[in-house]
Amino acid sequence: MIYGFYAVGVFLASAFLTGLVSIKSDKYVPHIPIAASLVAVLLTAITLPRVFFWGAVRMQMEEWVAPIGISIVADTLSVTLALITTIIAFLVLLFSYRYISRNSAKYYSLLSLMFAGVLGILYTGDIFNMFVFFEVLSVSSYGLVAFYRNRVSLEAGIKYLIMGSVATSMLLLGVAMLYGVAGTVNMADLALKLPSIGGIVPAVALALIMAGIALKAGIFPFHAWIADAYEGAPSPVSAALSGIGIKAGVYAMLRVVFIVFNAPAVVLDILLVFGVASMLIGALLALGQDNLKRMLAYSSVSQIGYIFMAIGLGTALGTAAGLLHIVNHMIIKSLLFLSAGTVLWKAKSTNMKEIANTVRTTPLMTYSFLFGVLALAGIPLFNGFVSKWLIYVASFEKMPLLTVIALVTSAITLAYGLKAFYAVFLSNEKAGTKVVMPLSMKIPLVVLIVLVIVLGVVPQIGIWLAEMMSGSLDLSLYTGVVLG
Amino acid sequence: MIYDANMLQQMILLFALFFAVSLAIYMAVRKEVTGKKAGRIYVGGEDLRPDDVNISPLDFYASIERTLRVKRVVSLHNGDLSRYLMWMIIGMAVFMIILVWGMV
Repeated sequence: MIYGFYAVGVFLASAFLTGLVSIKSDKYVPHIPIAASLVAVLLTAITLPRVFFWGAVRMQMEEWVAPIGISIVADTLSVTLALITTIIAFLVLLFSYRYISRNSAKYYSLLSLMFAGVLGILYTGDIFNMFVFFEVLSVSSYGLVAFYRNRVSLEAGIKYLIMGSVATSMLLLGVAMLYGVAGTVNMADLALKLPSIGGIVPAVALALIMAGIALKAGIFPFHAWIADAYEGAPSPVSAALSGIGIKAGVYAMLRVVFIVFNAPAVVLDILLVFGVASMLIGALLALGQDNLKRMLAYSSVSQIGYIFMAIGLGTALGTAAGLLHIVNHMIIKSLLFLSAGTVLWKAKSTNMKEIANTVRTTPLMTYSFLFGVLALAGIPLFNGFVSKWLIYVASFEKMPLLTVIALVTSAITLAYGLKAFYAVFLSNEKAGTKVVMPLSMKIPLVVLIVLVIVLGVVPQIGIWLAEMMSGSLDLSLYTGVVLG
Repeated sequence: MIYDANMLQQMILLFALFFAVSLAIYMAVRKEVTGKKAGRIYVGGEDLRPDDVNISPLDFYASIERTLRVKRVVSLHNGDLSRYLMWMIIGMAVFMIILVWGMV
């Protein structure tokens, strides 16, 4: 029994109930998804020790045996990411409690659907099922990006919808081609059958699937939707999209590359090259922004580049470093978007120079953003340092030039982070109205700050986690669990 | 074990120590520095006003942006959907060419 997977059902029920309750009154609408997210955290936390101490588990839907029925797999990678996802989901929903005042039923319903989609992607052992959960995630995200229904958010929503639709078409076509040649959509079964299938089809299918997932992950040159979408969406949604949404894409890429195709060298090279390009281009784009949310969006492109570069190295340390950076970036970017959200809550603009004239910040807002920036740049005492250090060491062992590029990118990261910090938080001493944050907005910031510092001061936790998660990408272990 | 965390832990502790010492020095000196009247600024045979030597941090970052030619990269991201879709298709084509060449 995988209790964590029931969190998908809990969020789906929350999406349905939220709409149902809103018929009577909007008053209790936010309580349903917040309660659901707490239950999801609990269910995932129950699953975690089982998987960490006794190994991965598999569950079959409706008792149809693998590979015919849909397999649900909980291993250290999926459960760790699921736990962080549910915690961030709870914090984002709590933050939204006072942040979203109009159309809250639609907002919470779509957000619940989005979390259900992400958790489904994490647990599924079936590539077609993964596509279905990607659709759940994507369709809800399109609605959330366009939530404000103003010019910026509608344009962003439509762009994201069109690009997302092209990407999911590629993904579906790739999955269909794999099913056509292998006769199965079970990932473990595909992994066993594909090596004996020759010809061009598996390679073309992999290219289509990788391109489809690359858009979800926001990797260069599939990254263009990110800035518009994050700018148009409400800040808690940007936090959820950046902290959780695009990580689902990264996770799916790892599952397909490492499990279904057993990580061929040429694929790792692609991840490495496109990772380095994303890292640099994302950082340069972030440096050139005057818009706070666009800057944070491009920064996500850059950090996803670090993850793919590390994994593309093809070494045990590189993979572990990349996986740890996924976890760290989930926490850091949620912190940054939520702290930016506190400022944007009362500001009339997302332009950094204009924000300073309209809003007077509080110490909690200031420190949460500063700590987020320092963690993102990989400064010691913060969690980003641990994963970036591992990335530097791993890349130095393979190709020292990559370490130099990664270090230069970190310097650019610090530059754009401090630029935003100065413009928004240090230039506004005299002007603007003071933002009085309710407790529901303070708690998420404090929790995320604690996580950023604890994982930074005690690196053993992160390194242990990374080591445990790396084991999940072992093909023989995975197929053993799924097919018995 | 993939990496020995002890060395990393020692580095972090060392950094924390340096940070604490720096903070202590700053706190000790801060009282002496603040409140004192600024002296005359004399550089290269000229008397300068405080405004001449105070550079806004945003101007500092603008100089970095100019050096790295950031504007050129930013101008490519002009919100044109058809251009973004073209990048996607090119990206997919590159994946396909490399994978077919490398795997078949």
